[in-house]
Amino acid sequence: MIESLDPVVVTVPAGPGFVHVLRTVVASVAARLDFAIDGVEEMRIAIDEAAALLLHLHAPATMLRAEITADPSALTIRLSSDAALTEWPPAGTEDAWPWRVISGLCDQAGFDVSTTGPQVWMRRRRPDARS
Amino acid sequence: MDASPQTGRSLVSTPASPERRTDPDEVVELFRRLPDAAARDELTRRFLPFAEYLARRFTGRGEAQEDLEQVASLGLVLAIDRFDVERGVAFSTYAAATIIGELKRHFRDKGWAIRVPRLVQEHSLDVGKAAQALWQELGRSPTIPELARRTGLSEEEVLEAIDASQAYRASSIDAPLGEDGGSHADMMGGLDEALEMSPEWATVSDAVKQLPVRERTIVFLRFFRGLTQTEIAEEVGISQMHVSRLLAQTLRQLRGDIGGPAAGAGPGEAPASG
Repeated sequence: MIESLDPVVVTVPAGPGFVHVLRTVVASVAARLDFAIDGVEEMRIAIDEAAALLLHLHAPATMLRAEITADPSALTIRLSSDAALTEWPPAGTEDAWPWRVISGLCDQAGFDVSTTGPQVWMRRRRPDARS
Repeated sequence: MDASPQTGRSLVSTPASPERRTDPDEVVELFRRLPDAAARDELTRRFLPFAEYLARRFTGRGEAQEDLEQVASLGLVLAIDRFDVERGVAFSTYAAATIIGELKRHFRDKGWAIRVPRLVQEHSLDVGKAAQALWQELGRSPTIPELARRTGLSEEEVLEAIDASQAYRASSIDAPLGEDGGSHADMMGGLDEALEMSPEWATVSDAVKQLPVRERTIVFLRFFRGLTQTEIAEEVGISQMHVSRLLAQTLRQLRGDIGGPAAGAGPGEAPASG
């Protein structure tokens, strides 16, 4: 059983076709952290939703970067792009459907700004973390 | 004379083969009358059961029967348009090739199950069965290592199998036949009323509100009531794997329908209360 995890970092071109790579890596890491199948599947969906948020910005991005970390209590994924920051998150994002899905699938989620650009972070409690 | 003189190959020598009930000479006569609308209608009417029969041969591959029948009838229309009586081929032979061609193209375009390698499809079924069995034994969703041990597959193969199973329409695997007409729709009546009463639900877009009853219920329980997939599975009376598939498919469909976050809010969106 893996206690904690140094960051797993994956960078892919910013296109819908490459989101699958991020999904696969996240699923694989989640499986190693003993997430049950529903948890693994939901993290895949969360990645799709977060990537859609980043890819639908008006400012175009050339890459998507996922940084996956784990501590004994939770799995954390930070997904960012290199889109030029104008308004992040765009007005109304937190009231819109994709954000309801992301925040429903994760225990905690939020927006941040990384060194490269806009970022969505998501945290999901690990199955045996009772807190 | 044999019932299907020019089409002795197994492709069309079926109980539904139109030669059984349609005189080939009459068919040729109808074609000679084209583009007469009545002749065209008559041809369509006569060969539609044949198109539907061919569509049924593609069931169980992850597409709804009515979609397949629509594709098949489109193939039939194309076949009627393109058929040349002078070629000396029976129309049913020509129509079968065209209709099957359209059906195959439909699967190719949609990228559904048919593109999933056979081995992965088998793994998906094994993993689905193992997940159901483990769920009953453990009283919770199994982990990937548990599924790998049970199925004898590697963890990566299990992950791939689960991912691939999302490519199927859930209906093809374990949904009760007749999508929303089944027994689950009855018990969802009460949940539907709960939806109407929820102030938060009023803020979601029409795309969400117009989901089929089962999908709508799952979405509501997951995102507005915070139930886990396992709890939803018990509530709705389907397996957790099935909930997972429906959820993934529905959200993917909504992402496509909605386009981007900016358009995610419905026309009359009010700020979510709380």
